[in-house]
Amino acid sequence: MAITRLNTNAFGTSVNLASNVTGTLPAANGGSGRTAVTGNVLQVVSTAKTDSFTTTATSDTAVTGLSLSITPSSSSNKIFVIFTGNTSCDNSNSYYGAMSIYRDSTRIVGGQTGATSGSTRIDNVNSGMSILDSPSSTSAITYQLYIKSEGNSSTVRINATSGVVADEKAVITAMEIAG
Amino acid sequence: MTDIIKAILKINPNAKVTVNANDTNQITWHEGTTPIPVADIEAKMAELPTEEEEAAQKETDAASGKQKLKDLGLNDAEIKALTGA
Repeated sequence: MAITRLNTNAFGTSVNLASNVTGTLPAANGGSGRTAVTGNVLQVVSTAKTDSFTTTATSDTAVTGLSLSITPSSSSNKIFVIFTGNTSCDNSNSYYGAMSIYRDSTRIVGGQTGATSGSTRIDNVNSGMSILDSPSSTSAITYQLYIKSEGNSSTVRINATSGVVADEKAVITAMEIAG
Repeated sequence: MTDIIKAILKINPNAKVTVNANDTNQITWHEGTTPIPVADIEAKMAELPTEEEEAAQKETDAASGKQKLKDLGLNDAEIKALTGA
């Protein structure tokens, strides 16, 4: 490979790579070594929760330990957000539980938790939601899982307080995708 | 381990409450629910069966109920059709 030597006299004693150089820096010079193309994953942020969270609240309640912050490198990039985890709802009174992912204060996707109909038994089932979000921002964004009960004191739960499931873990993950 | 929120709902069936990590120090009360003292919650928890005890009791009840149905003359297929187990 040919070596290009910059004439630093043209820029002073050093070259400001941010303002004087365009294109993609080689990995050896601190760059990624390639140019991101649409669909490339640029960064991944993930948070896991291993203890339980239960609520009877009928309005969206932030789940402790299931939030993350990610800062897009370009406003045209997208954020692919995924939640997976064991959820349940004691809905002996035919009520159910709801879960949502918020981008800061905006609800961007919702779903229903695991549940057992017509019984006081609580079923803990693996649940998930995902969304390809377009935040149109280069500021830090917080994605947070919320849950709520639909009413009548039905108990909605993330992770069991005890049981046979080993290594139980609820996870929220965000990936920045080049737009 | 006894579920804290079960104990709370035994004391106040209409409580709107959140419990993180099944920890009495991480209880949040919602929608105007009057907070219950931790000592009262712990006392109720001591009265309730643990989740392990509840699960064991359910298994015992299921086996007992199945045997009673067999004693009435039902076979396994009929019992399964009726109970799903």
